[in-house]
Amino acid sequence: MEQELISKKELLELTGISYGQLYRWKRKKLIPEDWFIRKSTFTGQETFFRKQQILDRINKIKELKDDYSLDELADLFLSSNESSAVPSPNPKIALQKEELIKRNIVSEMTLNLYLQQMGDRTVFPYQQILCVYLLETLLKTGELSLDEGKMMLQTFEEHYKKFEGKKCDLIVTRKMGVSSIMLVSSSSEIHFDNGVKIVVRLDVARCIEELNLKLK
Amino acid sequence: MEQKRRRDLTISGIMGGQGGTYHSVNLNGVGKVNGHLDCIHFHCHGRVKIQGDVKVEQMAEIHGDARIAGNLESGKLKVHGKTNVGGYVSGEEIEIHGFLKVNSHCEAESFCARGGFRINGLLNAGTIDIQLYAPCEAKEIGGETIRIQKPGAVSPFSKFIRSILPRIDVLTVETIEGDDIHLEYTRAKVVRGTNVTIGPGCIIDMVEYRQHFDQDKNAKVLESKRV
Repeated sequence: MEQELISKKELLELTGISYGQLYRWKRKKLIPEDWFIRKSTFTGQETFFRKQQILDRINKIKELKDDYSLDELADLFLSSNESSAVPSPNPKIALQKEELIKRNIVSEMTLNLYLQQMGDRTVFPYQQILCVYLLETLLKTGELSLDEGKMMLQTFEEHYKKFEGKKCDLIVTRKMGVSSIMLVSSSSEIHFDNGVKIVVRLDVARCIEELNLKLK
Repeated sequence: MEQKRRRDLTISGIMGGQGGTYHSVNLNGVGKVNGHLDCIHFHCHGRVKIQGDVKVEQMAEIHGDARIAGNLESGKLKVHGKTNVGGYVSGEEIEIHGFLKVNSHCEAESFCARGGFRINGLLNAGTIDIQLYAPCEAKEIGGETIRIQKPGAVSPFSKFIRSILPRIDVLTVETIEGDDIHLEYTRAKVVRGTNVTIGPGCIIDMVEYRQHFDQDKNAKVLESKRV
């Protein structure tokens, strides 16, 4: 999908910033290098940008630059640049039950727990593989009991779809011996009352990366 | 604490060294370093080849002939001899008294040249101050304050030398973009800025300015327009 392009000159006119500011922001890595699209025109080389992308970014910088230093802004944008690139789950992969164990992705015990809970099956599509893999990770570290594991499976199966294309974290908390499982988007901050203990906060995107490596 | 664990690397005479993390790196004579260098201070005299990136936290001083195959990142950078960088150069302050050749782009808060340079990419700096003692070349220049001047001949001797040698001390660049631009002896295709002053010896195809434009009578500007 080709987005609308805007030349550097038009951009400066539209936003009212100067060349100096644009170069300074580029130097401070507020605007990533690969956003600058060079094309030759009849006046020589001209630089273009994707219109929506660059306008959003510049408006944000103009809004925030009075409250934050440019370096702080750079860190902020850097993390948001990264989160836009979610490691892609590979939907084409599906594995046999036996293969999961053979390839050392999950242990037999975890797999049995999963089958017990979600019903017997022989073929695992990607999302189910991810689900068992998460369970395996959590059980292996000893942070989750078997019952909590079952709860996690249900939560994940039911809600993970809603994070389509976004990064999410899996959080396990306990209060007075009662545990709960939640899925939240990665960038969000959450705070609990004093009685709550966060048992684990698992970055699902990183698990996808790890899993993709193992599946290769 | 981190700094205490760093050791020094000193090379004198004809020797080779390994890359790594050091406190200060002193290279004298003819040397070759394999791998990346990460250090606090970097001094280089003589003829040195570095097969990797160089990252300097505070100050890099290069006398003699240095060839860096990778990128050069440094707080302050002073080039007195000849330096050839295969990647990009970035730093807070860059001072050139010799000759700097950069294969990619060059970024700094302040860029001050009293010698020559050749940058095959974009030269991007807050303040750019270039005194033309040697031919300079860049693909693009961008920044806030850009000042390019030709130093006047001080002594009769240098006047004499200058009169014999052909005038090759010019800056050649495709585009210059900035806020305050003052140019002398510059050849550029396009100059875009808020306040633009074109001094003697310039040949510019096109000037686009926002507020103010001045042109010396010894300058050649084919086209200028206010945008």
